[in-house]
Amino acid sequence: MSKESLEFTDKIVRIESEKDLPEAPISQGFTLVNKTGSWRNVRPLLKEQNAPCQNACPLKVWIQSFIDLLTRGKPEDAALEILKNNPFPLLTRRLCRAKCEIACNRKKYDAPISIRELEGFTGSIAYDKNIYPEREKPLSRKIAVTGNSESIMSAAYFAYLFGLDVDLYTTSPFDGLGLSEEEVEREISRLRNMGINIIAEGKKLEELLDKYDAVITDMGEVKDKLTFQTDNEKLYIVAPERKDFSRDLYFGKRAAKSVYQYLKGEPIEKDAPPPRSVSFNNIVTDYFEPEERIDTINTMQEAIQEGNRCFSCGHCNSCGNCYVFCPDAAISWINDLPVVDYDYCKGCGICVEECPRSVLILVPERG
Amino acid sequence: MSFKKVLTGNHAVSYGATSARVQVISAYPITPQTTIVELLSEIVAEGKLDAIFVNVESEHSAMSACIGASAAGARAFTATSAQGLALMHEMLHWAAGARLPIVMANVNRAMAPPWSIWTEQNDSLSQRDTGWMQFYVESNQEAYDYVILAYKVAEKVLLPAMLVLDAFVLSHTSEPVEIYDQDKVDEFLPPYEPKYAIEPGKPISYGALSKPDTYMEFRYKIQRSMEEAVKVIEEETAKFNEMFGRNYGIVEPYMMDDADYVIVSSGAMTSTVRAAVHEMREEGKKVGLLKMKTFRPFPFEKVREYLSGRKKVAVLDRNISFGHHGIFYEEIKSAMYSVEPRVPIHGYILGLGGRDVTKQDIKEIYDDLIKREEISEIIWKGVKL
Repeated sequence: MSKESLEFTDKIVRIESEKDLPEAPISQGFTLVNKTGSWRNVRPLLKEQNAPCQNACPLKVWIQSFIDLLTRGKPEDAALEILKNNPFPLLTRRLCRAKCEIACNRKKYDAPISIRELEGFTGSIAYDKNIYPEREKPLSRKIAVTGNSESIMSAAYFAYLFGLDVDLYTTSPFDGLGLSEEEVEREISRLRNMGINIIAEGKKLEELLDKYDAVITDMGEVKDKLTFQTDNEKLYIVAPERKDFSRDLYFGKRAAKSVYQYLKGEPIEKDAPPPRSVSFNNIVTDYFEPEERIDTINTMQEAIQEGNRCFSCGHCNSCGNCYVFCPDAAISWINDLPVVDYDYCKGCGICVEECPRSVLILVPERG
Repeated sequence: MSFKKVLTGNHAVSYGATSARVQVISAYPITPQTTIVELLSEIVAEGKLDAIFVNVESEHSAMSACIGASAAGARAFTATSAQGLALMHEMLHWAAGARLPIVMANVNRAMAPPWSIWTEQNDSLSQRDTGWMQFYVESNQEAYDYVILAYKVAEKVLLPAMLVLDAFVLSHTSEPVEIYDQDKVDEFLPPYEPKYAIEPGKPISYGALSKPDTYMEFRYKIQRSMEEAVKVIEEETAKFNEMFGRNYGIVEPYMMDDADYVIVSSGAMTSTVRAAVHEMREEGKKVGLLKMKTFRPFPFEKVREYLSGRKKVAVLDRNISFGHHGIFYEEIKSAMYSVEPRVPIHGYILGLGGRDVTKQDIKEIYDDLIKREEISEIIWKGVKL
């Protein structure tokens, strides 16, 4: 029942005798007239927070979100969420060091979520269905990306997503990682299908610098480990460290971002550290049951079962606790999310207390 | 068709609630009540009664759940005993104040400590001033009948009602009970139509603040409804008697027509008194019995009618108000204050904590009553001194 459909009538009831009163002590008019929100001195806010897995991930994949989408039965949306930050989920499934799982809050409860498996399995859906993440508005600027390393492949991928036109010069892509020919072919054909122009030859750097608006290469010494700039504003040198596969992919992403910022005429700034993540102490574990971790995920059923173990730290997965617990029915449920009606919310904080994943926070009222 | 079934008093109550088509049952187990809701839970689980059974963690919550259900317009039922009833105390006020026609079975059990599970009326009589109607039943048939009757009266006057039966003497003792044809029960007790019900589309607040300018009027209304309830009980009992072939009243006289001496009793021990009175009558003693079926509302008129002009009255109390005397005694004496000429009334305390009350006890009380010249307000019968 929406408030609009209720009839508001302010009526004055005069009690001259007991006959003017009902038998039961009930209000004569609507209680909605009394806007109890004015009593509040703190307000609950729905605020998405970072999860430790997300902060630990070099690529900053929004893990809570893709697991949430997956468990809601939207595997394609989940796959696209992954591809926004991870260009090669099928490779990370095997090669990533999965720092996310080391940081996972669930580890302190029973066992961490099988994030790497979930991400790989979910990512493969995009491969099977030939779907690609959305590209930003094309900038009409053309860059060359040259080299064979995973950082270069990643740079090409992200530069393209940023809206740049990309010519990728590569003679032996993913060199030195021990990938099978099928694996290389699978990834390269996806890059090609996205819209990246792949040229299987090497070119001299001077030539490229002449011809293109900017160049990213993995040949030469890395000058700036945070932005991969060089003294030449058109040239960006990036190289894998080969300590952490995902971190090497991140380097490519970062180099692409620097080029994008340069070509847009924006200042190139290093990435800010992520905001603090939700800690285990912020999770209301009473709402969870210990459940066995699924180490290997091969079916959608297994994926959803494992995904359901996720605390969804800092990310609203529409569990509805706040809606159920609000003693004043001041929380409406709109588009599967809680919406606080501040006309009636007294700021008691029960919703914040009962949010299992710390998405709701209390902030002081001003004035 | 109606049929007879051998039932314990507790199961008779369960059948009563089933015949009354209760919609929400919320209860917490306590001896000797437990088997009432135990059977009801089975009846609900088997789908023989379209009701919601709400498990709760205490009697306070059981009554709270009934209050919520009743406020939403459902016919709500619960059952308890002794400490459980005491724990409900706050919500008993709430149910009556909010004018919710909840019906509860209380199996009389002595209050602890010392622990006891046997019958005594102190638990229910302690709830005298909560605004609940109270009916004290004598047999398992009455236990069944009064669930149905209690709802009829409660829903008419918008006050909750408690039927009270004795621990073990009734609760766990089997007797044949006539279970009525459902169509006939439905005819007598149609579905509850709440005067005020919580509806999502029509928000009101229930039990909100009432300032000094209106609180007293709400209390006045409860008292008026209690007074009206006397008439409603008499009318509805008459209808019930006609439909189901019973002989109930707001109070029930036995061999009273020419009785010089009257013994006033309540609950299951009334059957013993009845047998003793019958035997004494055969011996030529002019003695009668007045059964206090209804305690709240107090049946002033009928009590005065039946006790006026008697030589002496003995009031039996399976309860005690410490520092005063038997509770029925004090109530009856107060009701008779305005009656001229003054009737000598003596109060006997007996059967506390489930101690047996025998025919011999009743005959001795009669002999004692005849001999007494001075009014003794508290006479202990059977206490080991």
